[in-house]
Parts: sequence; C-alpha cells; structure tokens
Amino acid sequence: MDGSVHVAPFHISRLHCRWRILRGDGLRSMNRPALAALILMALSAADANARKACVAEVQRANESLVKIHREWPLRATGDPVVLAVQAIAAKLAERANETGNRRWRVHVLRDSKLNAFSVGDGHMFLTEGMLRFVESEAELAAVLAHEFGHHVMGHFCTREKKRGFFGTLFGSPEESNGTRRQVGSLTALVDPEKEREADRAAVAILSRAGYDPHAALALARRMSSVPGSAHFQYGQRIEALQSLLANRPLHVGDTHDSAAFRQLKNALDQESASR
Amino acid sequence: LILKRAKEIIHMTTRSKTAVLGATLSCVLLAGCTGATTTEQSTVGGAAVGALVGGLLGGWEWAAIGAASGAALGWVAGKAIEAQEISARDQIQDQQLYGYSTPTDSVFVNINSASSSPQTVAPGGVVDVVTDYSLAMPQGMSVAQVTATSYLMRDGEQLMEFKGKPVQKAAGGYTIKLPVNIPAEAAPGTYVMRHQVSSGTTYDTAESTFVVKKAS
Repeated sequence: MDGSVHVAPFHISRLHCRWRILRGDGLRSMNRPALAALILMALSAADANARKACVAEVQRANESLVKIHREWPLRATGDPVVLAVQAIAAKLAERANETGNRRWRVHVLRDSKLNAFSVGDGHMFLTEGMLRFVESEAELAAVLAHEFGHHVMGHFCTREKKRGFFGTLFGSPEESNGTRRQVGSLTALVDPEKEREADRAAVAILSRAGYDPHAALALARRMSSVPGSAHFQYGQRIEALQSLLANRPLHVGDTHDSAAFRQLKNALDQESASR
Repeated sequence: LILKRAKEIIHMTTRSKTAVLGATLSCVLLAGCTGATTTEQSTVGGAAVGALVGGLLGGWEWAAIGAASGAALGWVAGKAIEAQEISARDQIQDQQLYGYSTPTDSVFVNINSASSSPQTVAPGGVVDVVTDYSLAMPQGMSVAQVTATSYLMRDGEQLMEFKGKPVQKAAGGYTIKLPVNIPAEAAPGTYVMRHQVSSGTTYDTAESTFVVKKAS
C-alpha cells in the first residue's frame, strides 16, 4: 500500500514501539502482555487497512467510475434490477460481516456479455449477461463474493511497486505480472494469483454468509464452457477452487432464492419479453 | 391475439430522392383479420386493427406493431411514419461533446437524450419522438449494426412498438426523429415512450412522456 494509506488507529503506537526497539530497549524490555497487544494491534491494523479503501484506491476508482459512466450504458440506481442486486449484495455483506469499512455499490451494465469486475472503493460492475447467466442466488452471491474478495484482499491498493506488484485492477500505471485485458476503454490487469486469492476470500465470505460455497465452483465450470468467457480459462482457477472445496461438505442449509433474487429474474424476464 | 402481419413495399418521393417505404400491418383482436394487406391511411374490416406504416428516410426503415392493449385504448389508426435522422456528429465531435474515449474491445451505444414533443397533444395530432445517441466502436471498425426501437406504454402496459430495421452506422452521434400520429380515438391520459437503441452486445434505454388531451 502507499505510505499515505497507513493511517491506522495504531500507527503512532507502532512507531513508538519501533523507536524503543531501535533505541535498544528491544523486545526483551517489553512485558509479554504488551508484546501480545502490540502484535494484535499490528495484525488488526493490517487487516483494517486491507479492508478499507486506501487513498490511491479511492482516487483511481473515481477516475474509472467517471470513464465508465461516460462510456457504458448503465442502469439507473433506482432501477428495479439494480435495487435487487444491491439488496443481495447488502445481505451478503451483512451476513459475512463485511459491512464495517466499506460501502458496497453494485452497478449493472446494459451489456449481454458475461462479465463482472470491480474498480475499487466498493464499486462492482455486473453485466446483464452475468445476471441472466446465474441460475441461483448462491451463484450470484459467488460473483459478488469474488468481487468482495478483491477488495478485502487489498488488490486495489498499490503496494511494493519496486517489486512489480500491482494493486489495482483498473487504471493503475504500474507494470504487473498479470495479463492485460481490455474492458471498454479501461485496461484490466488480471493477475491469476490475485484471482485465486479473491476466489479463496469468496469461499470464506460465502460460508460466513450462509451460502453454499460450492456455487462458486458450479458457476466457474459453467462459465468456462462459454465461448469468449476468459474468466476461468487461465490460472488454474477451477482446479484451485476444486481443491479448496474438496473437504467442505455440501451446504445443507436453506438454499431457496430470496424474494430479491426472484424479483431480479422476473424483471429481466419481463424486459426480454417486451423486447 | 395478434393474428397476422402482412408486409408490402410501396414507393414514395421525398425531398430529393425516392425512398422505399416499408409497410407493416399488424392485425389485432380481429377474428376476421386474416391475410390483410394495407397501405397508409387504411383500415381493415372497419374494426380495431393496429396498423401503422414504417418509412425509410435517412437510412431508417420503421414498422409499427400494435398490441391488443393498444387497440383497446384507441391506437388503431393506420398512419405513415417517416423516421428521420435529423443530425449527426462524427466520432471526434461526439467524443468532444460527451467526453468518452474510444473503446478497445466492444461497441458501446449510449442514449444522450430522449424526448417527446409537444408534451401535450390533442387526439389526431403528432408527437415527435426524438432520440439522440452516441455510437462508439474500437479503432479499425468502420461500422456497427444499430437497431432503434420505441415502445409506447401506458400504465406499464405496452401499446405499440415502433421498430427500426437494423442499419449499419459509423461511430459518432445520431439523432432520430420519429413522428408518431396520435389517433383520433386515442384515450386521453399520460403516455410513456420508451426509447431503445442497441448495437453489439450493449443497448441503452431512456423514457419520455406526453399527455393526450381529451378530444374537444
């Protein structure tokens, strides 16, 4: 992450402790409870930083948002389809306890392509093609959880530039080890490792939210067979998901789709019928 | 209960050229409406028939298709429709105006503005349905197929569909003006026109409204 984004509540404490260590006080001079507290504080600060949007992320997300709003046909924020997806995203975030540091905002593109992507700062974009493609609320939750995953793993915050890392999927000028994909006039930097990271995070989020994480694998398999859909055709994502889910039992809880999901599907079907 | 749609081609003279007028007739709710053919200003069987004629001008050929609910609300008269492309901007002008970049992988269509005017019209009058849109496409692509359609709605129900035939367009900005004749029998009230333009995998929609006054 950029230095400017490490403004965590424990920032001063950490600096103070580091100064004590440099002075020669060292770890030995700290009692064990203090050391444990220090570690906990550092961990929680890092976790908070990963979950919170960094300054660079917010700036780049805003730039991408402006471009997308100028170029893509988008559904209005009050559109029934958008409201339904937003409701499902909110439910997912609440159940998975991912509401604390971010405001999740879902945008729906009037595009029949199969695609979903994020630009950072909680902004996620789903195409109508994707919304039509998902067969259950759990599959839609899997798409959203993957985008949540990119955020909570800190993929939109640039860090360790010198080592060639890139922290944002869109608009980052840094070189990366990933593949560049064009999405409209934006360049998406797709790093297979970060995709797998987001998948791992998505499985955890889905589980916490009470959705069947196997829906992510089912969706990946179906998407990989769609011509032109590159999402799962690189980086052994399906294999990674398979091994990740191998020891997880199939979900036995409530698998019924919510009213919001049915409303979403009905709205899309009605529009198709009228066209 | 749409029973039959017949098509015929007639010729008409425009300001500078002869254009082909595509005609589409939709028969609605008529037990006896079979195999009917019509030209503009005609009705079939003297009863409720949704019949409107599409015209070709400026590259657009339109057909109007009536729905049962449209017939019930008086949208039954057959009138000629000439869709006009009243202005266009080239790609550079359009990009400067709306501030977008050239896409690299997709065709994008965006409706910039949509209107129906006048806002209030008497039965027998004309409402101009205007749609201004931008078409963007990757470099190296010269044209893209565009389809424009307008749907007349009332109380959430679709009454008529004004469908333009797909045409090839270069990147840039376009304005389509579609005059819609308001039937003398049209029921008074507020109508919603849903404008839609699609190209490639994207489409955009917008809405405008107008009010039909009570017949005096």
